[in-house]
Amino acid sequence: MADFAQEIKRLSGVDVSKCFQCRKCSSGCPVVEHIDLPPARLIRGILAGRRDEALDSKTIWLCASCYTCSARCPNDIDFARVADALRTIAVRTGRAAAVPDVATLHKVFMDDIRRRGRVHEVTFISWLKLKTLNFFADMELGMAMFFKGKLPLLPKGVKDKKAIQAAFELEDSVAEKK
Amino acid sequence: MRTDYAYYPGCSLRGTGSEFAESMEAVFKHLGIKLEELPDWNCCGATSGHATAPRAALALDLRNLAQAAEMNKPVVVPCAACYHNMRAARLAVEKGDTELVKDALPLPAERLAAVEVVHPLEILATPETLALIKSKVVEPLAGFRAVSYYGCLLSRPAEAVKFDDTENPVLMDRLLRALGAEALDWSYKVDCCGGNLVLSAPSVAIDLISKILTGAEDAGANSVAVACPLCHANLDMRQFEASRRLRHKVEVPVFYFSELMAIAFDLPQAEKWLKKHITTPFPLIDAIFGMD
Repeated sequence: MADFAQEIKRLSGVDVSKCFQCRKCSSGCPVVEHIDLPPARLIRGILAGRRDEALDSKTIWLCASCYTCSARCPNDIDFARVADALRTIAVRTGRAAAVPDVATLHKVFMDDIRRRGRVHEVTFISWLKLKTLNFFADMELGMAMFFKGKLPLLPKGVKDKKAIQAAFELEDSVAEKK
Repeated sequence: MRTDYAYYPGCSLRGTGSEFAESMEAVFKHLGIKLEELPDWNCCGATSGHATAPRAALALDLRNLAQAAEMNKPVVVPCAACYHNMRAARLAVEKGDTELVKDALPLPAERLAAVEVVHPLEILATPETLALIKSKVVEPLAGFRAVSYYGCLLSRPAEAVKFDDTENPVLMDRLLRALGAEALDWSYKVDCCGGNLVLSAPSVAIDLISKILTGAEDAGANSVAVACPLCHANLDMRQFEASRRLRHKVEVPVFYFSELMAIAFDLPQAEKWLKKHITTPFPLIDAIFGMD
């Protein structure tokens, strides 16, 4: 097995060498028309050791983690977990994402958890707008939500902040220093 | 029938999905089932956690699971994403697959693995609870032609969640029928709504949302029932954009299953929750029940 496939197996527990290219994953993928590499082709690339192709693909960011591929694979290859592993490698190694806004959303979301252990949607979306410089999207919707009382303004956090810190220290300990 | 559970609401239910939380809590109370909130729960990490920070995500989920274990009761988790993550964490412990957190568990593995993580529909759609629900219906939902939308994370992947049937779940359909509604068959029960891509790759998500709403229309539905705050947000709030994409006006109210229960039980708070929806359900409700 190629080194890259080994690395994926170590991170995700998934053995992609069991793939026999039936493409059931690609046929059922709800975002297949928006991605550059359908799941089965991405797996083929992993087996051939094409690391950059996989890590620079749009697929890993536009995968919605719906698990349709994982549920239907005749060889029990959990591709959603493979996508998790690829995104995680990309984030840990500080690689530029092919769909930057998606990577930014994940970062901003995790930062919000890091702050108080829970996500506060108003804070999270404000940061997202700031980081993606997309101030005007969904303005009207946001106002409607506010007036309908769907947006509590005050964030609530967990009491035991140390436990949350410890969870993130586990993560930070494996990120590559840039 | 068990009448007391631990309860993990999660972040969305304490924010944009507050009508889900409040209606859930009210209908459980109405059925005589007690829910006791975990004392200091944290976010489950949602999709971003397992997608980009798996170590932190597993540690966060184990912390929630440990709080449920301390309460010695099964834990009810209404949000599909939280439910999925908590079940996946439980499975990881059961399989001894906790190297991500350096096998440092907040409680002994056998205690964590023993926690029963349940979705409200798994409690409500048992024959016993359905009989109780039927006895409480005072305003049968005749006239509601609803499709049940389960989304992704309730039923997939089956190994972790073990919820009903992966491709054709029926628990919500059974509940709707017990309430007197017509539960229509359709092909989009477990299709993906795009989840949080609605914020980071909106045109992809609007595509998926449009397909689901078209599926509901084609089935002849006048309402959609959901069991997840993100599914609700996407289907309820994006009908304007879906209409633009589809080049015809789509207007179909989207209800949490618990709101439909509250309507059938004639709970007075229901109106307050329904007012929070972006696609207003009142024209449908008025047409069915008359303007009283």
